[in-house]
Amino acid sequence: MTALTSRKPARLAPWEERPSPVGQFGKGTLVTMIVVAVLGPLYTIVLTSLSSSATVNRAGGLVLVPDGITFEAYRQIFSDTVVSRAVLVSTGVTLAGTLISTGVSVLGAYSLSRPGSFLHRPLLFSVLLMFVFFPGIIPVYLMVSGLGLKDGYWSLILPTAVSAFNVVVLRSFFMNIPGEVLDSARIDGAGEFLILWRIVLPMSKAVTAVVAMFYAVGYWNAWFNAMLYIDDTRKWPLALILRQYVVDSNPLPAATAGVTGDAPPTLAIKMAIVVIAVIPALIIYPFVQRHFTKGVIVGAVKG
Amino acid sequence: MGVVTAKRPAPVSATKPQALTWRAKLRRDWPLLVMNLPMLLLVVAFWWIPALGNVIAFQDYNPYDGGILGSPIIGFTNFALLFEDPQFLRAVTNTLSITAFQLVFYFPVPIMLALLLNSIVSAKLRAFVQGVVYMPFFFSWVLVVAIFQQMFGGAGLLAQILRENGREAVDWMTNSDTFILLLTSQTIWKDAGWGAIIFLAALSTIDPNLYEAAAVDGARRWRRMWHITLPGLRPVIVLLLILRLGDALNVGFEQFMLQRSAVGSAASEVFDTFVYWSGLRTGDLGYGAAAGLFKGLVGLLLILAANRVAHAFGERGVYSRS
Amino acid sequence: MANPTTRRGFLGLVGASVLVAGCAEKKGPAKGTAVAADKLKSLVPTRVPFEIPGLKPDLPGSEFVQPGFLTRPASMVQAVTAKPLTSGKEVTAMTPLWGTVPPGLGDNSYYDYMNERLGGVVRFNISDGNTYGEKLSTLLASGDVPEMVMVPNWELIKIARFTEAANKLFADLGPYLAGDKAKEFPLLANYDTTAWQYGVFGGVLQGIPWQNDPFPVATFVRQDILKELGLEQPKSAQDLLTLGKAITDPKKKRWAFGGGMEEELQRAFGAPREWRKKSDGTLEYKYETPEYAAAIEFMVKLFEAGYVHPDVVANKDADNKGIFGSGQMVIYRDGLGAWHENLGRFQADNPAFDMQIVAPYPAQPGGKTIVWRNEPASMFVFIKKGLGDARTRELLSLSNWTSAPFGTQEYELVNNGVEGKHYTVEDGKVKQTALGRKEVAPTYLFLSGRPNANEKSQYKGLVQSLWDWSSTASKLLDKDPFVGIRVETPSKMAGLVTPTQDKMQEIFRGKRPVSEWPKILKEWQDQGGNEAREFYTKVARENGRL
Repeated sequence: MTALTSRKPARLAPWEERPSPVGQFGKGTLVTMIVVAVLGPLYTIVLTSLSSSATVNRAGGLVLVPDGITFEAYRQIFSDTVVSRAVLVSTGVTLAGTLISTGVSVLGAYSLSRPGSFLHRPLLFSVLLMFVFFPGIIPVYLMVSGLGLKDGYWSLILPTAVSAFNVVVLRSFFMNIPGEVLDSARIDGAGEFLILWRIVLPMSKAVTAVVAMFYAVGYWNAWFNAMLYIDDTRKWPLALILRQYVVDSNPLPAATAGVTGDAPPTLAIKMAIVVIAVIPALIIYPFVQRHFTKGVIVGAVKG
Repeated sequence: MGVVTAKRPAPVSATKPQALTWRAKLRRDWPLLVMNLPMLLLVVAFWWIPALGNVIAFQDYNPYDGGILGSPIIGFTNFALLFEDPQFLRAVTNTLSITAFQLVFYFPVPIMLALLLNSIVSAKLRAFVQGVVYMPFFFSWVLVVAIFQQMFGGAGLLAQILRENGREAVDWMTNSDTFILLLTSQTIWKDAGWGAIIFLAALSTIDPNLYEAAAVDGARRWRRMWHITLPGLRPVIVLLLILRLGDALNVGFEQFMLQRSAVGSAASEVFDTFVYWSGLRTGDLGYGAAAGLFKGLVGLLLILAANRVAHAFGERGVYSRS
Repeated sequence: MANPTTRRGFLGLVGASVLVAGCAEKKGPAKGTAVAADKLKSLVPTRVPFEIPGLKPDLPGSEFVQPGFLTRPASMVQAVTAKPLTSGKEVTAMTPLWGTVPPGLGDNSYYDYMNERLGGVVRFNISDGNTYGEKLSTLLASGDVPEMVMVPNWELIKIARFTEAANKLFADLGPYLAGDKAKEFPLLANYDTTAWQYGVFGGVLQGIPWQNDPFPVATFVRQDILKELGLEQPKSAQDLLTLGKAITDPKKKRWAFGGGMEEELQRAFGAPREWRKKSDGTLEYKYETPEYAAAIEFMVKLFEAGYVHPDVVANKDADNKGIFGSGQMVIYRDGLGAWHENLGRFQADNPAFDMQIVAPYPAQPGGKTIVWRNEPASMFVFIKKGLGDARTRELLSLSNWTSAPFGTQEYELVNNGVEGKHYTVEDGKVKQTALGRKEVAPTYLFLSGRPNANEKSQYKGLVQSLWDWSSTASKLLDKDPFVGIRVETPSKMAGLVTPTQDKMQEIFRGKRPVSEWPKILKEWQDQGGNEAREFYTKVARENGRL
């Protein structure tokens, strides 16, 4: 638990008792098992992505035993100019989308965090209903094309900009902030925007970072909207471009076998795509994690 | 000091909101409405208005002759078609039992994982383990099932090792009796690390001074977890539990489609797969919309019921009464 | 019956009908349509075979045998001299894509060259082949379709009321192509008549067909492994049991069979591909035949004995090709196109990889052997309705151009791009260049179909073996009571296929006893099978087939 209090948490707090050797051993074993359970399969994925097609063909599936390493799959993916363009599109959409979504959700969640306020219940209920009832694809499509958003980047952001889950989670964290902190600010004459900006947000860094990450990961991996709304392949995000690498020719009937060409994408390329898809998340997670390490609320109350 | 943790937080405003007229409320709360506006606009445009299209559940909908405004109204026929199907009940009970099973055997896992991660003293090790466990979230179900097949299937690593040692190979992937265990282990492997993130965020909001004070009072590690950590996590746990209940008829689609031939439809038929197949047979959108509405209604009722239970236990739940 | 609705009281009616009407009758899904043989003749183009000047196949083609080319022709013939696009207006076309995304218009020299040759720009709206159906059904329901749309048959059957959608949104091609009118488009008139008949929807000629291989599937073996084990190809279904025992050795990670064998066994036992005329003059569906039930029992034996690869047991849609290529599995069923696909995929790394086709075999040694006839077409190109006479003709000219068969310059451009730039020819083998791999995606290829040729001469022995096999198979064709009639399967029956087959797969895998098959059959009959029989019987009667 020391992690919560200190920037250098590698030591136990003075008040904390020494852990028992048995407990330490048990925990160590458990953690090792968990890590192995994930890294084992990950090893075969990475290994397969680094294997030649001959090795993959011999294995008839994921490669377990290394037999020469080649970066051919990655070279092939990144030499594709379409891919580098799509990286730009995805980066832009993810940045803009995350900013908009997080902003809108924080504002929305805060506006719903005061029971008894004007129109509180109907507004909250309208968000809650988003959990259980869904509009069909066709009405949303008509709306997007009716607003003239088709074939534009906004069609990748606006229809999925608000996630009810994220709003409700943010709201729940906001409501855990002690009421007296907000009340004293109000008595000092602070408006709602100021309270949100100066008090609530600084005290909710962890959850805001997590929600921003949820949105970012969602935008980065989203392909369905692009598939539906974007006709021009030059505006396709990475997720949609990469999907084309991993398609299976399985559903194709005999006569059309020729249309996939004589050398369908190898398993090595598919696995390279899997690896590539995980990388951005690995990059942003440490930034999010940084906000987990402090007892933020107590700081704010004291200060 | 201790306000953050065990009890429901104090009401946000000291004044009694019920006492005010709507005019006074509006005068007081207009900044909140302004804050709500961007979200409201997006929700209305891309959710509320399109969601009205669900009215086709009550129509003999034909997009090519009449459309949504001209198709004949047929009342509850689509719903009747849904309920009349002999497979319907099995699919619903299958789904609900899977949800119940996972509530017991999956839902606590991310919480326990978050507690475990949080208790790792070395920051570097903790960051490493956290970074590792959430990666499988980004793998598709196709890949997850393929990995399990490669490990536990009849031609998989485990079977091969058993055979080499002269033992009978066990095929875990095609046993319909243990399917629910397989299913849950796949879900744990794929999603638990990701699910832990939100609890890690919640853990960071617990006042560290509480631990120190408890330790000084002589509370040992486990007691501190019981009396400080868990109560601190409780609002988030309750919230996520309620939301999961609202999703009771959603247990996934791909995972079941992929393993359908392995374990048979008796074990793997869930609500979504049932609707998919019967939708192909009846072949229209009105039927699908009716299934969606039914699912939503069940979810809504469960959320409301769970919320009521939460209130009875003094929790705030997903929305408050006042 | 249903309430007629006015726009005004529409929302009110929802509530009212709920209270008053309760449940109303539903018209239900598409009932299926059929066009009689004689009427069909006047709807579709009269076939005029297109002779490529100076090109004679090494192995002659016939109705069910594709012409074979043992070597690549030294020079290709220009089939169409005039540029098809004349108006200068961009063509918009939606096509599926299985494979990597090519650079867009403006960054793609292949597009530039093709558009130059065609006389105008084609703007492709490419969409992932695996999710194509979702996009397609959305576009159809919202009425928002481009000028040309490629629709695969396997997506079409999943789309509710597709025939109505097609009739409403897509042009009637009859006025341009029916009978002798098709002479204006000689390459379109070159298609098989049965393929064209398949393009008729609701009695209207609408789809430009993608002509199928004549035969749906065959049994393939790893001849190199059979040889190593000293085994022979199966000559009857009974041989499969012996082969299963001899091949399967889990310790060596080797199993005899892959997926899909049930189709080959149903055929071997003599079940029809779809309907069959009984001796009493009524129709029976394949599920109802004793041969089909016998094939199920046989399959159960293969599964029970553990001869089927575990990955296939766990997933009936497992990647058979990959498992076959690795040698973990030796015998499986696939489409004929899989042959060259597998050779291309596996022979480069493993020269010993020897895939061979098994001659059609009966259930018992010396028994009667039949072969199924394939559906004549598998994909269709539709042209948007209301574009006007001149534009529709222009788009048909474009389809005509891309329909050019093997042996023409147009065929090479559509399939491989520009010689020397996107591909080179070495020892009579086409070799894609890096630029070709990047730029030449199947796009113009999907603006029409084309008659197939047996021309993969780069693989040793393939053309001759395939031609021999086809010649044998063409003599064993099963009698189908619906040949030459365009029948659109009723949605209800089409929707029953996968659930019924799934239950059958469960029997194979021991999740249901074999004795449940009659019950499954009864469910099929009750849920729509009998209704479908009435419909088919009526169609067959009207055409004098019963």
